[in-house]
Amino acid sequence: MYENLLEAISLFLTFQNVAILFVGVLVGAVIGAIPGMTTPMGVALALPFTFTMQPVTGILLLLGIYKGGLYGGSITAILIKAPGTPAASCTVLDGYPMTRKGEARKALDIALYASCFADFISNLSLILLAGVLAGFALKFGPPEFFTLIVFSLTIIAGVSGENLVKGVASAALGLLFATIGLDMVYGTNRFIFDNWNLMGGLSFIPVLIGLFALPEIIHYFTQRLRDSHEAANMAGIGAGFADFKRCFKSIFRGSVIGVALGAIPGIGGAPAAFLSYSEAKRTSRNSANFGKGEMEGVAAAEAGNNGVAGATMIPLLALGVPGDVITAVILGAFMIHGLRPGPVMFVDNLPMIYALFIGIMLSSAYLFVIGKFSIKAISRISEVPNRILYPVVLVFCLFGSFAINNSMFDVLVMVLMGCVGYLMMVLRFPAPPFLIAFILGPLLEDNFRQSMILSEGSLGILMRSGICWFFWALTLLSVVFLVKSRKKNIPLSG
Amino acid sequence: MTRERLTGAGVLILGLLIFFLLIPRGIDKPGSVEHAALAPDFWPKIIAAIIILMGLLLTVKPAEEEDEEIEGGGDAGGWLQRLPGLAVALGTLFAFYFLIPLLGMVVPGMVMALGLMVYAGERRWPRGIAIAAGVPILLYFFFVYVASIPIPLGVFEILRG
Repeated sequence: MYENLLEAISLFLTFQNVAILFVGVLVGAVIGAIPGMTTPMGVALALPFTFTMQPVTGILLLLGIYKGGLYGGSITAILIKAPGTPAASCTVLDGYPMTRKGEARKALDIALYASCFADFISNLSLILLAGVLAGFALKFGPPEFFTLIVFSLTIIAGVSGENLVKGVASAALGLLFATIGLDMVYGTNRFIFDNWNLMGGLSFIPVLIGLFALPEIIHYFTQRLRDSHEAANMAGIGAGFADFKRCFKSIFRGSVIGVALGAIPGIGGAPAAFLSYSEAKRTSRNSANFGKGEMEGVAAAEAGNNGVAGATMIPLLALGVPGDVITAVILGAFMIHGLRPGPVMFVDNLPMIYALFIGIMLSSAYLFVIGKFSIKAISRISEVPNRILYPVVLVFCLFGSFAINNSMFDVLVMVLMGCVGYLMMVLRFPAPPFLIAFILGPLLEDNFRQSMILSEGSLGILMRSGICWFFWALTLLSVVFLVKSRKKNIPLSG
Repeated sequence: MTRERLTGAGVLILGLLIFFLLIPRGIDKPGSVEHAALAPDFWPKIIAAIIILMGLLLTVKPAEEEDEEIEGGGDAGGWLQRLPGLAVALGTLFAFYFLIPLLGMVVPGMVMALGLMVYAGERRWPRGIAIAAGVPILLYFFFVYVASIPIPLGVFEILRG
């Protein structure tokens, strides 16, 4: 234990890691603050830059962007009523009215305090729970993993947007694209059509960039071109300790809600933010002011939103399954570095896990420092016009997709996936289910086929143990919950 | 409702094409398969069946069409409005791809970025040129000298030191 911890400290404590995490949080906050840029897009664009980094350094960069992005989304939500992330849409409810009342600075400060506190609680829960869960998961064989991945695929219901059927169709397409390449059991060709570039399957990054960045850019150029940024108004005095104390109950409750919902795959930040907000409104002495510029409303929403950040990493690190779209991208980053998160990683690579934990804890502090001292500059960056931003992002996409394998074919894949993604956007097919299924597809098929080999073709093996039954039951419960949430119009996965 | 129904029909046709055309032609089967569930086309067939089912559901019970977030909507007029921008964006992307062997990535990257900025309405030339030229050059230096990834320069390869 102590040897591992010491090794982790020496693994983490390099100038590169400490600096890159800071850069990640800063870049994430900037990306979150730019309307039109999303956190998954930011993480996708940063991925090619991590190839030559040490695995810990690369993953820390992505984690920093993730955490910074969650907070950055609230800046524009408060200042110009343009939430950078779906989860930040709850922050708009009281944040923007506070800006209108000349209390923007106070709203930004309390959002920052709530975000940092919730992030800290979430990180703590990750550290305490991930190891326990991973220890339990060591008992898993292929059938248990298969049922676990089936359960993880219920995320799709959470990220399907307005139409579940379209979400499932999108996921099915992702699963199909994941089957391209050599068959894992017989070594025969699947959808290769004599193109040797396809033998290893489609590379993850061109697919990711094509799906998440290109459609937004293409969409921008197909609209009547305009840039309509309001000037950010940073008026008013900031929030102090007394304000934090007044909102503490809602911040703490929001953090716990965020952790609980974040640990369940597919729920995401938006429901946590709304649930935390509604609980705060229900119990607050100032409930009549909610929606009119109540500081406690901003604090509750941001605590719920940021409380999920560390918790979504619990299923990723402990079980190897992503909790949301961004952790799905981070899972891809692990794979690119030849690592496979999950219980085995807790045995084989424990110092690396601990190093990540140290970095994750440090990211909460960085978030505070960056939010406190560079908020004015970040809110200025949100005024970068899209006519400059999108061509620059496009250049990043093209260079990034080439750099993975020095392959022009990957550039072509990225461009074609951009066309597919744009078509999906126009027809309102959500892209996140495609990506999650594309990542989980090979694991699902591999574990299914291994189970079939073990059982000589009998499907009964998929119910061989209590763990299998547990995950089948969890899948059922999750589907029922997610479908009910959809009927109540609770926005999922932000 | 009609557009959603048509989308559903499209998904249905796609699923059928995958099941009956793409899978038989695109997947090589080994001489003998121990169990049906282990066959290379078992999993793709299940996926195709899901796509067919979703297509059927979308056709039979189409989603209600909401207010168009995407400007111009999905009608013919909307598409006509979008077409020039779509042609510019896709034309630029494919032109970039086909120019890589000839001109590399840096120069086409500069031209593409500047062209798109101007198309989108940027009129402050010094700023536009500086950003359009600066970003590909910075990326080139990062990938070549920091990450040791050789970014192609095409005919400008002679400039590489």
